[in-house]
This record gives sequence, C-alpha cells and structure tokens, in this order.
Amino acid sequence: MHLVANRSSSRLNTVDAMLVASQPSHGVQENVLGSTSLELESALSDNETVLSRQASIETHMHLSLSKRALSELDAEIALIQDTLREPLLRRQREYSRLQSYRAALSPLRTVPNEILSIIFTYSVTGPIEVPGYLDGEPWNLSHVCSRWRQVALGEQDLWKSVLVNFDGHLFQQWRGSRYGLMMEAVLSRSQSRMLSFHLLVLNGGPDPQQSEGFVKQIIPHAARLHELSIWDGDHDGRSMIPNTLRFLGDITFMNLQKLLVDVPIHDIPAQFDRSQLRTLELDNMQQQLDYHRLNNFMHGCMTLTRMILRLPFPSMPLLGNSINLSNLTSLVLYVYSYFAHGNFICNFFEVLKLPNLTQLVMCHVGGRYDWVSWESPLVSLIARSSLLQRVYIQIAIPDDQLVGLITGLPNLVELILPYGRIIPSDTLRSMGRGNIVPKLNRLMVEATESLESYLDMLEGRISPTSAAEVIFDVVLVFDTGDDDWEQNLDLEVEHYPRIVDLLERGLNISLVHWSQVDVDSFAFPYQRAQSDVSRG
Amino acid sequence: MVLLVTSDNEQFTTEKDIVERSVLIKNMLEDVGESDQPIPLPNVSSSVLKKVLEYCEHHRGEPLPTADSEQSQDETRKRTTDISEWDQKFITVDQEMLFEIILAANYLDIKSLLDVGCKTVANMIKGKTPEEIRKLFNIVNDFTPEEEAQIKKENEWAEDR
Repeated sequence: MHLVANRSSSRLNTVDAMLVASQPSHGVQENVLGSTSLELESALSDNETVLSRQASIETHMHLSLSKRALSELDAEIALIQDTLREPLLRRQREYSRLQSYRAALSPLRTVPNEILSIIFTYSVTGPIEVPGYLDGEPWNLSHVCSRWRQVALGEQDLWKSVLVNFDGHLFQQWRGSRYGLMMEAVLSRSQSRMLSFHLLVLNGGPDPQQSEGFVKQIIPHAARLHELSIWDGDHDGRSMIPNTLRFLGDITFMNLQKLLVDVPIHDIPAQFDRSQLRTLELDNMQQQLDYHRLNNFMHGCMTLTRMILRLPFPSMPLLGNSINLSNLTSLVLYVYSYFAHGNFICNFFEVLKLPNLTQLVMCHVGGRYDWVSWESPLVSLIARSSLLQRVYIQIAIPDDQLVGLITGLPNLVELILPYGRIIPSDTLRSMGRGNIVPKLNRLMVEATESLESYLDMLEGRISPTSAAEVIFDVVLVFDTGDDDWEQNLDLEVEHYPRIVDLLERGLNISLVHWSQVDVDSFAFPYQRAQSDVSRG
Repeated sequence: MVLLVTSDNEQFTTEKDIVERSVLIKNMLEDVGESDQPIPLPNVSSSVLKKVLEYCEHHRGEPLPTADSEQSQDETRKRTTDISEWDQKFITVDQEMLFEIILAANYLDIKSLLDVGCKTVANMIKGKTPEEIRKLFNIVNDFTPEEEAQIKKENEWAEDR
C-alpha cells in the first residue's frame, strides 16, 4: 500500500506539472497572456464573463489536460481497487470466520431450550396485534435463527393473546387475506392454549361481510376463548357497535372466564355463557346505562370472583332485585360524577350481596374526592361483608362513619384511606391496644397533626402485652401545604428516636407529603420515596 | 453451617438459611440430615457460586415461592419484567456470567434468581430486530431455505400495514 501511495503521488506530481506549465504564469508572460488569464479567472468565478477567442482556446487546452489527468487518476484508482479486491475479500472471509468463532463461544448456547422459552415468555409483554407489524415480540424471536424459531413456535404461551384491530379502513385495505394468514399462524401456534382476545373497534369497524372471514376462523377455536375484551376505539361509535359486533352472535363463548368491555354490555349482541365467568370489568364512565338490563346480566354471573366497575351516577336508583354474588372476593368500584349523592353507592351495596368479599376498592373519578356524599347506611352495608381484609377508599368519609367502618371490620389486614378524615385519637388508642382491627398489618392513612397519636398506636401494637398484629407497613400522609412541609409536620425532637426505634424494630414506616405519593393508585408494598422524612 | 464444594474445587462455608434458598440444596440437607459432609456442586464454578450466595444472602428470610404463588406468577409472567433496584445492580454482569448465573439458578433450583436472570435477558431482547438480537448474542443466521421462505412469506403479511 505504501508503494502504491508513492507511485500515485509521483503520478499526480507529473499531472500537476503539466497543468502548471499550461497555465498562464506570472511575471513577464503575464504581460503577454495577462489579459486572457484574467478573463479565465473571472469566468471561473462568475456566470457572466464571455471568454474571448484566445481565452477560449486556452481554456479548451486546460479542459483537455484536466480530462486526461482525470482519466489517468481513474486508471490509478482502478489499479488500487484491483489490488485491494483480494485482501478485502479475504478480510470479509476472515471476519465471518471470526463471527463464527464468537458464535461458537456464545454463552447463550449453554442455555437449554426450556430456559430460552422462559426468557421468550418474559419478553412478550402484550398481545399480538393482528393485523400488525412483525418487528416486535414474538415475531422477531422466530426470525433470529433456526433454534430460536423452533423454540418460539413451540412455546404456545407466546401466541395466546391477540389484539384484533377491528378497523374498518384496515379490513378494506387488507381485504381480509393477509389478516387471515396472520390470524391463522397465531391460532395454530397457540395450539391448545386458552385464548385472550381483545377486539379494538376502530373507524366504525368492518361491516359484517368483511368480518365474515374472521368469524369463520374463530368459530373452531371458540371453546378456547377464555378472555374477551371489547374496546370502542372511536369512543363515539356506540351506535355502530351492535352492527359491527353482530358476528359475536354466531360464536358460542362456552368457556369465557374474563369479560372486559367499555361499551354498555347490553349493546353487545352476544349471548355470553356466564356460568364460568370469573372476572367482569365494565368501563362505562361516560355512558348511560340501562341499570335494569345490567341487573339482569349480573344475575347470570354467579361464579364471579372479581368485578371492576367504572360506572356513571345514574339519575335514579340502579338495579333491581338483589344479586347474591357469593364467590365474589374482590370488588373495584369507580363512581363517576361531579357533585353526587352517596345514595347511589348505598343502593349498590343494598342490591349486591357480597358475603365473601375480602377486597374492596372504592374511588371517585371526575371531581374532588369530597364531592360524593357518604350516606350513613353505607358503613353498615359494607360491613355486611364481614370478611373484608383489604379496603381502599378514596371517597371522603365523615369522622363518625370512619370509626364505624374501622370497628365494623374485624378481619381488616390492610387499610388505605389516602384522603379525608383522620382517625380520632381514642380510636387510635384502641387500635394500639389491639381492641380494634387486631389483624391489621398494613396501613396508609392521612395523619396531619396527629403524628403523636399514630406513634403511640404503633408502639402499642409492638408492645409484648398487645395481642394484635404488628403494623409492619405504615405510610402516614401529611397535607401541610406544599412548601417546607416537613417544617409543618409537628415533628418534635422527641419523635425522632421513636421513629428510629420503630424502624429498627422492623417497621417499614414512611412519612410523606400527599403530593409526593401516588394516592390514586397506591399499593403495598410501598417503596420509600426520596422525600420520605423517616428516610433521613 | 453448610460446606459447599464447587466444580473448581473451592470450598464455601455458609449458613443454612442462606443456602436453603436453593431447593436442590435444601432437599439434599433434608435427605442427609445433620452432617458435616461437604455438598459437591459439580455444575457451579466458584466465581458463579460467589454471586449466587451473594444473592441468597441478600434475600435471606424472604418467603420462598410456593406452588400457588408460582402458578399465579406464571399467569402474570407475561406482564411484568420489573426487577428490583438491588437485583438489577446485582445482575449487571457480562453476558457470560449472566448466563452462568441463570444456569446455576436452574441447577440449584432458585426460582427467584432464575427469574431475575431470565427477565434481564428478556429486557435485553425486547424491541430489537432479529439482526440486532443476532449481533447482541453472537448468533449465526442459520435458517434453512425452507425456513427462509416461510419468514419471507410472514414478512409479506405486514408489508402494507
């Protein structure tokens, strides 16, 4: 290479010399040729100068010399490229050999297929979109190498959850064929696994004729459908839903265990076999519901264990005949309204008999937490579910009702009351002695101006004389203004050793400002925030 | 105390409640009963066992997964690849060590450690193209012509999307 470079540079020197010789020189000759070279100089720097005949001849000479030099350089380069071709080919071969050696030593080879399969299962975090791109999991896993393809195609779990884009435009564009092939692959690769289907209706959804192919594909696998969710992606397409989803009437959902819909359930033209339904999620915040029809629907849901309802406030009492959901252990109720009367919630709990409920989450959406009134029978209605262990209430509870709630639920293990009233100090003393909620071991509650009483209570629970459970996880929330909130905590010098002592005795106690904890989706175990005072 | 002997013949003495996070060792100890006999671990090297014991020591006292919790974890496996802060730092090792830890966790039957390892690899894979995955793990594209043809067909499904 060194020699080539030298040779090339000597050649360039020669060409340069030719050009230099042909160029107008300075000095004496400049007087003779000066005018033409000035002309050329000017022509080279603008677009207007028209060369004289003499200057034009001279320029042609420059041009032909330049052409010659260029072609000589091209030949030179071709020669160099020719010389390089062989080493480059050898390098390419060597590089792929190096890659093969690296691949041969790849530690991934030592991992057996069963573990690779677990890794794949973890990497698939959402349903497969049909129709959709093939650049995400699990498709990409099956396009890496032969072994990965075998493992990916053999792991049924990777293919069991599907999001069907029920898009009117897309169905038209695809004319069903490619969509069908993709769906076929998913259905065959999931083999015998139970399927989760999520239907996202967009752009009005396909018309019944267009969705015919889809229905034909699904029917043979209907017995495998154990989860179905229907989402109205248009948000205003409610009037289209009955027509778009007409095909559901042709499918028998005999093993459906989980049903999630965000259109009124009575608008869906399907006969769901509810005898095995375990989870029901209705997300109807913004819609008017026919509560009598909803009542009828829920009458068939006797096997429900979990129910999540996001409901608007009706203008009149909802539901009708009482419904005994004796298997229901978990209820999440979001009520949507601005200023609203708590009779709705009372009515709800009057109609629903939930003797085995262990978890209750009750939140208000669409306004301040204290814009829903808490009516007096509510505590006793909730307390009918005497097995309740976990309660999360995000609606303001009046003081007298709060005490009733705490004393009325003897099996309480976890209590989350991020907003609202503060537990009165005599009730806290009873809690400390273990007379109230003796099984409680996780507590998240507002404690503004009552830190002292809470510390007393927590110390009471860990004293050897207490028969109650120790409250190991405690998050005390303070609403003391945003600036310098720690200063307003009423945290006295003597509190510090008490907090340290509780921490040393294994309590995970946190003192946080309400704005620094996500109260709307709070859940234990709580990871301490940087702002946690007890951290310092 | 329990004495463990690695494949490269190094001995590790550790407390019983630490090492019993390994179901394999726990069962061995139960079978053997009280004994001073060393437990040979022919599939684990000393550098890997050191890491494994560091993990077990950090998580000592935590409840071991039961059959029920394993089942529910299997159900939610798809959704969560979250790894705690400490575990993330712990598993920040080179690829060779990462896969050796996974293999050791599998052999020693330490479910939580196996999960941490598998989640870490899953997070490395997520969102990457096949070519990027090949580069990351030094994998050779060894598809047969039939497989190539199948993949080409599959890619056509999404072409006009």
